[in-house]
Amino acid sequence: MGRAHPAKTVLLIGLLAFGACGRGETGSSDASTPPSPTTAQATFTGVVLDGGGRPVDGALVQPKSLDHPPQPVPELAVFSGPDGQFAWHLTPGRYEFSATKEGRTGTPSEATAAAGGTERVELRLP
Amino acid sequence: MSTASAGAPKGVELGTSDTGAFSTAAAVTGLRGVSSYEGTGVPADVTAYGAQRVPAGHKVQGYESPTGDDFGTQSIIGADNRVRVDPTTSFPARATVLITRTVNGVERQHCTGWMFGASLVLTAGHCVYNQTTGWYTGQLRFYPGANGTSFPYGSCTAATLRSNTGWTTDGSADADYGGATLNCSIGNTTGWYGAYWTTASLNGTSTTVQGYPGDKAQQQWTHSDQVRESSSLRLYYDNDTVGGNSGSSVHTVRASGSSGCSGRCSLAFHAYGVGSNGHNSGPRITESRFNLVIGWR
Repeated sequence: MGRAHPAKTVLLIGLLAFGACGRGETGSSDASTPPSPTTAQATFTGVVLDGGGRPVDGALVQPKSLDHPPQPVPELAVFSGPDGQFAWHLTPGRYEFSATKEGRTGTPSEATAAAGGTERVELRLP
Repeated sequence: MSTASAGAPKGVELGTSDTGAFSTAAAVTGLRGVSSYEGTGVPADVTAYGAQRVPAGHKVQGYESPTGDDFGTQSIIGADNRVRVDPTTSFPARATVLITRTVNGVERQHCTGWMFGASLVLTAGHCVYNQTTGWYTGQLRFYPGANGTSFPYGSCTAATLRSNTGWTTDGSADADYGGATLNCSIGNTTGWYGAYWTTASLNGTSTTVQGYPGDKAQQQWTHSDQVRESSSLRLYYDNDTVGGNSGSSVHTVRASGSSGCSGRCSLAFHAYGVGSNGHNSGPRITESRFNLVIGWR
């Protein structure tokens, strides 16, 4: 499209941001009506246990995509709670989860979940 | 939103206007931004800025590798070349924000953010809104310049969490950015990052990712690389990151007087570890995103 009057151009910038490039984005906030949570993600819930089967509090739980090509993973810090429980919401696919605490990393566990699905993972720390 | 000069926030420079026509080779390259502001240093009393004092030794639950070994995640690309930032009271360390999340009374390390105004922190969208569970309202706390167990700028909470419908409705990783308007004006003393958008290629532009990786116990770490690939909505780089780095500014340093932005100039919001092309990535600051987040100030 042609650019006409400079003043009009300035006024049009905001509109063009939402129109001409086709990728304009609208703000949203928790002060407005919240969007309904979707089920496009897969949920992985799990527990971190020690060698004696007791829950481990505060283990850093990190996923690694095993898909080819790999899914990019959100870089949140996710820790197990006092009951050893954790939850990750990820793009559907196959992942390897590992738990680490105080220099100890347990054997990773694999899990696969589809959109809207929930898969359970148990992780052990040595 | 208006982008007229008269109504523009202080420090915004209007450059060549852009129609978002990324696909038109002959299009005039657009660039617009706002420079970083270095703030005034460590305040005698953070409560003067509406922040809460945090006693030394305040315990945020986190993890630290006792051996300092490579954490071994995919998003540490090659050797772990991260460098600790200590102390954190100089700029931009003090404008880099540890974000914690409290669940069932336990406060833990969560994400990173960057000051972008007196009361505005920007971060990844997934740090403020989860597609499955909704907004993290009432769960987040913000500690500018946190340094292990030292919190020289106190902490603030969010008055309003912010994102965009590209993330909250569509769940697009390309739109995974957000922010929080704080209940304090601590940015006046910490300073804030600048930001700019450009339609030109950013390939080869230096990138620094500075934030709070989950394996480093609330310590601030930094690593520099460069833009390896870019698309109109996403930048890809090989900075070493770990879970917890989400929301860090992916920034470059621009000389005084540079067009659009000088100082510490954000290019993207760090959000994802290694994906299909082998790089870490984050949503790129575009014209419409720049306009949106400026409006959050």
